[in-house]
Amino acid sequence: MIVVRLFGVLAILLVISFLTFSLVYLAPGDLVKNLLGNRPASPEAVAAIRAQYHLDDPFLLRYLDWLGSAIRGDFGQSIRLQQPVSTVIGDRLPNTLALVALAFLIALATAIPLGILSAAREGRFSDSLASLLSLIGLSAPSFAIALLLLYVFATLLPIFPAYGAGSGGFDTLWHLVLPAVALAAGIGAILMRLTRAALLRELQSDATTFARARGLREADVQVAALRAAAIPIVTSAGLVLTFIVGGTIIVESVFALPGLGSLLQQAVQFKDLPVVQALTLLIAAVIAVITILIDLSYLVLDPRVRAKGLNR
Amino acid sequence: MSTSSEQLNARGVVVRSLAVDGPSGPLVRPLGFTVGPGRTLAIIGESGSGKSVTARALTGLLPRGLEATGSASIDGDRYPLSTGERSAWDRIRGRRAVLLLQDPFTSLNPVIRCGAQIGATVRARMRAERRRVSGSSLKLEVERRLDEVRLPPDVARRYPSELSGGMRQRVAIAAALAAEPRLLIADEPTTALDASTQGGVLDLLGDLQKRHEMSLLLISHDLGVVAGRADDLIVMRRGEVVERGRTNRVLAAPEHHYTRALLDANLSVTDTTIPPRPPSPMLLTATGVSKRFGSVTALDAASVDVARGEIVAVVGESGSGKSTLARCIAGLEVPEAGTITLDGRDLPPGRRGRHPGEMQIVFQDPYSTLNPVFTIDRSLRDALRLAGGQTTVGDLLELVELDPALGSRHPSQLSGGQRQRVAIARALAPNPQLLICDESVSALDVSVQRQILDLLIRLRDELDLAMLFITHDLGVVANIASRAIVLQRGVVVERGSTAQILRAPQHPYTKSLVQAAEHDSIHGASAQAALQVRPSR
Repeated sequence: MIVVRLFGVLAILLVISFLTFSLVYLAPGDLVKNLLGNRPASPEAVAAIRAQYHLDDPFLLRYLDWLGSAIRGDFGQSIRLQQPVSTVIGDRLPNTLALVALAFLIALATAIPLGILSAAREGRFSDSLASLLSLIGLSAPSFAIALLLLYVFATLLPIFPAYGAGSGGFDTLWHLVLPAVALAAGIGAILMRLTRAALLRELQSDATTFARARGLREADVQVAALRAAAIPIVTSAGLVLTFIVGGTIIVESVFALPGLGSLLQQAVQFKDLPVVQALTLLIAAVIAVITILIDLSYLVLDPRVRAKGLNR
Repeated sequence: MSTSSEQLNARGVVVRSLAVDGPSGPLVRPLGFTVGPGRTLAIIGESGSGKSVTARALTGLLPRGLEATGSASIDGDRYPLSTGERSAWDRIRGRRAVLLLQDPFTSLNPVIRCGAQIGATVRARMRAERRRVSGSSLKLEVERRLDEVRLPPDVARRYPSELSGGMRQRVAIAAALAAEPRLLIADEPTTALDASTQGGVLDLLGDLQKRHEMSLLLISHDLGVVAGRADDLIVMRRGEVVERGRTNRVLAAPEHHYTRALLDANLSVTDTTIPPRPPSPMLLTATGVSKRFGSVTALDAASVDVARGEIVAVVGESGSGKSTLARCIAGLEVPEAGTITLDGRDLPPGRRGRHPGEMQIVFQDPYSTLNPVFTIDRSLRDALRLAGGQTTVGDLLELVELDPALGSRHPSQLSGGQRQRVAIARALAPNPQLLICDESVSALDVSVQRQILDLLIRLRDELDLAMLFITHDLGVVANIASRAIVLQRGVVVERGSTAQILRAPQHPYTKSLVQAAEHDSIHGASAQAALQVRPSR
């Protein structure tokens, strides 16, 4: 089963690599101008650049060239930064990883307890308040939340730094707080709604009624309901994680964080094809791996799926 | 109630003026009853009668928006039914009264092992009695409870999904009885189970009740289930008691016309009303149909044929492959082997190359097969457009004996019987040669069942329609089919005329099915009951 899935992932990565390649190729802009700037360029310089980056080769040949090297593990050189793509990505990966992890933790730590509270006190004031909060988180776009956070917590009350990644260690963590909160807001709101809905469904189930009918303590009844609701909550948390990975592009740009998201944004603008290709594939692969892990988590969490999986 | 019966019932259950109000008026009008220790009271009614609401009101588990009034007392401990306080119910639920639900597939928590679910009740009881329980004695207690419902101790380590429906309901009973309640309320405890397991579960409940001197309140739509099992009977209709009395008396000599109608509507297996058909050319012939799902063989070389104007039943319990056979014939599943011919033409496997005018299916639950946002008109018009015939929506509705004015309604505004008529009308839109009915009357009340069966027979006669009727219910078979096949684990174990199969079954499996059905048939039971009652009068 897993082998089949992995082959599926490889096929998807191949398709994505072709699509991104075509999109960057078709996008407006001229690599030569990007490299030379606005200075008047001699025809020799232009020709030299066109030759160096094989700009005059047919489209398909250029793609196959790239694919051939990529399969051998060579993703080429960043045109903009004149460094190997692996170095460029490697330098910025820790920042983005830390940002994603922090945002995910913030989203989990706020949304799941809030969702549980909201379901347990359905229809009361705390439920309405939590619903209002999640509505705000859901409807405000992340760049707007980012700008608001910047204004309030970096300008008005200068508690947090406004930009950059800091000098490592605790300082970096301090720098990541605002971006992570901006990233977590929308995603946490989705997660909170999903948690609330999943738990409510279990609290209204026959199993809960039967547990109450047998005289079980309300606390025990709710814990049992939560165990059954954990299946949809965990899997939706996984899906939310994939949203976070995509959301880094906007948030890193707003906070000028040197991470993969801002790198991708700059690379697209510059038509830095090797970097765009490597980054999109990396993000796609991460998302694919997350979804496979979600499916595997069913095996751990749900005895019904486990029984079926063993029968196969 | 006389004072003497109240004294008698100082032990036992006394319910006074129980009533339930909903947002749109009363659901249950004030009613009272008593159930002595070791006695069984059955509440019988169809959907909407208020029987389940009554059961829930006694344990304070009404759905939101419903309010109960009145009071109950169990072994002298009197409590109001109106209280919404959770703590007040803590005293009642568990040690006093436990509610056992209908569907063992949903009433157990799917992610918790059976042993732990029984253990949770034991812990709750120990806590209420201010006793401590050690891990090893808890394990022993769980095993003892499993043994009581005749399940092996290793069931404790299983998840509910690893057990059959009958075993799950036994686990639920064990979990309920671990609270040692004085009153067990069983709300349709066997309706979700196969006929051959129903009897066993009901007998087990009866045994345990006698052993624990419990009062049992048995809620059911099926008069057959309560015959021979309940001491007293209450018949409810639209929230009101229409008849009450000793079970034997009510079944033998019902006083209210509604009780009589319920008795008449109960489909009997013993008198088959359908005569064998004169031989006519075969319309459908399915031969050697096999289908596997993973490592499970759902169908093993099953064959069935239906002539024009004939109704053939496919009988089996859940997992017998009866629905798979219907789906293979309809092209909804692709069988691994076998041929299906209709009107002399070989049908390719799967849906490709099929025509709506060949065959149509009517499923069990019309609520899930009709689009809830479409009016009836719209649903039927869509079906007619695909069929391309000359019929109108009004004609179709009249064909299934529905008022054409109902066309402007949505499915949720119709009763269960009306919805199933609409589903039948939609299936008839392309004027099919063969109609496949997959448990098409199983979700309906008994009185409605009868009407739908009569409708199907009329349609067969008028349209010379061939029907393949998939069902688990031998009572339905006896009242609609002229021939039947019996499926067990994907194999056809018996085939013949309905009369043959019901009166002289050959295969041991068919025999057990017929026996279980006869036991639950009131016509058999009420005849016995009448014999027992008369000498004393």
